[in-house]
Amino acid sequence: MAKVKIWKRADGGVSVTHFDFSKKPEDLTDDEYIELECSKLRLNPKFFGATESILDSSELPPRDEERDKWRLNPQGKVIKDKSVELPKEAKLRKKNSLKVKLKNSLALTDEDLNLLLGE
Amino acid sequence: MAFSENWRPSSPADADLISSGAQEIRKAKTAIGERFAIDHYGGTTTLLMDAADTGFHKQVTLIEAADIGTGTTGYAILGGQTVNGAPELVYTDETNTDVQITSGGQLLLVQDEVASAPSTGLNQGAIYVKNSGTQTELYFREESDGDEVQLTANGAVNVTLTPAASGAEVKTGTETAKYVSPSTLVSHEGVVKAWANIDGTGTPSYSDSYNFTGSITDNGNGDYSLTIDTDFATASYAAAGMAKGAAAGTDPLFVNIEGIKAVGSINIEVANHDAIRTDSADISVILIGDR
Repeated sequence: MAKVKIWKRADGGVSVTHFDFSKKPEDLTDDEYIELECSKLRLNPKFFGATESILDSSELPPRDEERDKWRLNPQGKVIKDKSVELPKEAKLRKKNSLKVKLKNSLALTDEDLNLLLGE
Repeated sequence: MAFSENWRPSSPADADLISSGAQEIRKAKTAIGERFAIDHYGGTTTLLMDAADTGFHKQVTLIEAADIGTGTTGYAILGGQTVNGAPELVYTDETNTDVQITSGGQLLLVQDEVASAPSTGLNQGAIYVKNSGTQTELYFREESDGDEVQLTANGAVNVTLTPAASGAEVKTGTETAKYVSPSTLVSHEGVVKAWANIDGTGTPSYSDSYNFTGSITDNGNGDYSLTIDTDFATASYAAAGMAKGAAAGTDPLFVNIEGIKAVGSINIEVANHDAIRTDSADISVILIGDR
């Protein structure tokens, strides 16, 4: 597997830089190439205040629709933090809460509610 | 070459019968016709020699000679002279200068070097070979003012191009005389400086790109940072992007510039109509600006 750069951003999220070592100049080592690539990213405001580390890509969790839940644990490992609520999850939670309130206050059936909301 | 009728200058003899005179005349015509027909046209039936073009040369057969002769004032000689064991076409002028015209079945274009350009008069030009200082090259001298033009250089046609435009000249785009070399073409302000097609699913990667480095940073679902190889001069460059949704007409995606652009990198987000960031297998990004 290949080395990847881990950025723990100021917002708590985790960024992972994947390198194409086939484009590495011959006179650079892998570490020098990583440093060269990351020197540009350090000038990007998104990475201001980020802490950096190197991991092997095999140590990363499977990347899926819950990629935004990745966090760096105190041991320096990237994990999927299930306590993180994604925006779409928050939106669904709020929506379901409102549906319950609407259903109870208007004495609607689930069928009525779905018809009303176009679902 | 064999002839049917021998040429006999001593025949008929004075003592021959007068009755054989007509036969002797026919023999003489045949002998002349056979020899005439070697290089001349004599009609469809050679010995009749009655066609309109009779008498014109149909070819010139030159006999090989060790030396075609010595040119003298008022005369020039063209002949087949032995060169390297085979007859070649050679011209000898009145000063007895031999000019070999063919060599080994080809036109002989070899010339000896001249020390300096030959003089040219009105309506005249001269092509000649001369040593350029390093080796023999082909030259042309014109009549008007005697300018000398070197036609070859180091085994190739000697072409003097106008200089290539510099990167700065290409950038401003106002230079009209100079040519644009491939290495500076991208300097023009109107030319795309970087583009990429990205597969943002799984481990994000470039499907193809120009002027992006090999690295790509995965910031989350539909959130990527791309590193530019040759930086822009300022962060005021223009960016455009599109992304392909999962299926045509469903959940269209848009590409957004996330945060502040940097001269050496850019962050892009791919989101759906609910502003929820999402991965796409086909993301296109184009950057244009000064560098």
